[in-house]
Amino acid sequence: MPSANSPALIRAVEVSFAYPSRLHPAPLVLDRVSFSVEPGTIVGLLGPNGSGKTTLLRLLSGMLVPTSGQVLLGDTPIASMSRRALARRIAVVPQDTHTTFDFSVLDMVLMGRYPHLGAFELEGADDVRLAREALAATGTLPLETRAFSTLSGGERQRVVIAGALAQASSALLLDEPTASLDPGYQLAIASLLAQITRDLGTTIVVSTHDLNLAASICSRIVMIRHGRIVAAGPTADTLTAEHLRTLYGVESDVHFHEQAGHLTVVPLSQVR
Amino acid sequence: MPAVSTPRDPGPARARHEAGRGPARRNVRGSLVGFAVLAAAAILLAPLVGSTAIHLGRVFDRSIPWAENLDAQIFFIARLPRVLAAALVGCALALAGVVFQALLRNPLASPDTLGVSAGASLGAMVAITFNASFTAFGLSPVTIASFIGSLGALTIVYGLAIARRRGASTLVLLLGGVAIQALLSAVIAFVQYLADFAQTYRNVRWLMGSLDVVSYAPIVAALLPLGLAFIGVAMLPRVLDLLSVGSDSAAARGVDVVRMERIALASASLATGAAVSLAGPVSFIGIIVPHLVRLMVGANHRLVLPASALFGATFLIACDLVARTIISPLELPVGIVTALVGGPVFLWLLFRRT
Repeated sequence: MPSANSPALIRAVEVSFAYPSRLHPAPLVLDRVSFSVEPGTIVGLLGPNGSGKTTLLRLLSGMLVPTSGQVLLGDTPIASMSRRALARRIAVVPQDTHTTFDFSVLDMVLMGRYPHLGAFELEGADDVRLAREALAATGTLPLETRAFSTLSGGERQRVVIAGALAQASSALLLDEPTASLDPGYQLAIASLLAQITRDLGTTIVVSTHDLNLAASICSRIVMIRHGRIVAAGPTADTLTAEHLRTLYGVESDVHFHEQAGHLTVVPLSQVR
Repeated sequence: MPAVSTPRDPGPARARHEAGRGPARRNVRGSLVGFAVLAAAAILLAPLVGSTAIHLGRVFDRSIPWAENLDAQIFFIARLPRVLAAALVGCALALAGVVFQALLRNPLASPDTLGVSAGASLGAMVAITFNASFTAFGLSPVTIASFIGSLGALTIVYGLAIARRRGASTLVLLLGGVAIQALLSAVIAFVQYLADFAQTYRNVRWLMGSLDVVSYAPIVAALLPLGLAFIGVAMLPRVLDLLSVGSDSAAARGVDVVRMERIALASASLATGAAVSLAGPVSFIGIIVPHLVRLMVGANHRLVLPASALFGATFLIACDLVARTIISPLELPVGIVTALVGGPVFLWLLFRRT
């Protein structure tokens, strides 16, 4: 796998955000959100639809600028970094990727090399080597010459993650990476993320509705509802029936599963 | 390597086989050299064809004095300017098409889509109808006015697209472009209505798109904007790859989206303006050439851009050759030929893909 630079510490400090609106004051999508992601750990972002998870990820990646507060990478506010410099530290994997033209799988992964090349420069042998390593790491090397648009959802997601690895950043932000995948691919993505953090020391923030995925790979959980953090902490203390009731309005059974080796969540009923 | 011909699941054996063959980039140089040879051959051979037959050997025969070498005079004075103009216009329109399609993430976008061609046409109409007489850099008023028109139309559409957000909205660029184009067409009709008989004749002829270039002056004049456009485009191969996937994912990969979108739009509009000022609105080149090229070399813009530039030149030279000879001694406006060829080819591409 391409080696990442020094592990990233990501901190959100009192981050608030409102989309431009005619209402005054504009409704806050995120309200004074503070948390930190330790280098080389996986943090899960949980919350109901519309709670602000995606907006928070976009703020962490510098795609959006906080209305107040700031996001820090180490000690540097990301607002002060260029897109290029930021892309060398933080890579993003969107929920789904569609292409207008028929790029090959290798082309898609090579796009990850963009922030490492000059304005008129084209990818060289080293970049191709790194892209191949990333493909190998995600188990997609045999797909190298296939057209990206002909891949299944699970293959596609792994190729996009390979592109993020080729970017050689020290942090990876993923927005519901398993949302439309079958159980086999869900497990494959989960173990891939765990492996990336273990082997490369990559800091990962992953938003998801898949509570069992979160339980299996995240060392810490951040729960967001209506743009505010309702609970945050180590997975074992945070992923509780009580918190899930507050978060989703759902009664659930949370148990340690011996065979799985992590907590499992079975949603039982909606709270009346 | 088009997706359409790849089966959904070729199986591990086929996949291994393909991977073993290595990436297609090995043929990159080879295919570009092929496109270049084709374009060079077109430029050299097309001037030989015409109402008076001439021979390539005699044209370049240094032992015959220039004053007596009729073949060379016909080649260099009568026919080469027109062929070179066709090469430049084809090259510029094809490049602009590639850029617009990637930027708008829409394979049907073209220099016409954003109203850029319509803007250029309106400029030319105004110059012809009101007998404009200003000149600059040795350019005719029609050339200058069509240039101003193309940039004006683009500025309006781009202004609309960025009015409500950071970065340009693809949807507004597309739909705003269609609206501006319709509006400009109405103004063009109005200006034509004001024109007298002779001006109307010139207007209509100009709108058909024609390569009636009889000197090197307009070609030299078009080189400056085209050169600027080429420099801009040279920065774009990887950016267009990324932008065609999505502006958010491009930004996450480190692309300064707003800045690169501006460079791309400005380059494509300069190229379009230069092409339209030379030949009028020649349709379909900007759509068909990039499509055919992608079928041959794949989607990667580091190949699509140079290959389209070269193939666009070849394609328009060939179309113009047909236009000059098909009902000789009459010469058809080349726009009629590109539309007659382009329409069916476009339909073929469309049905081949679905």
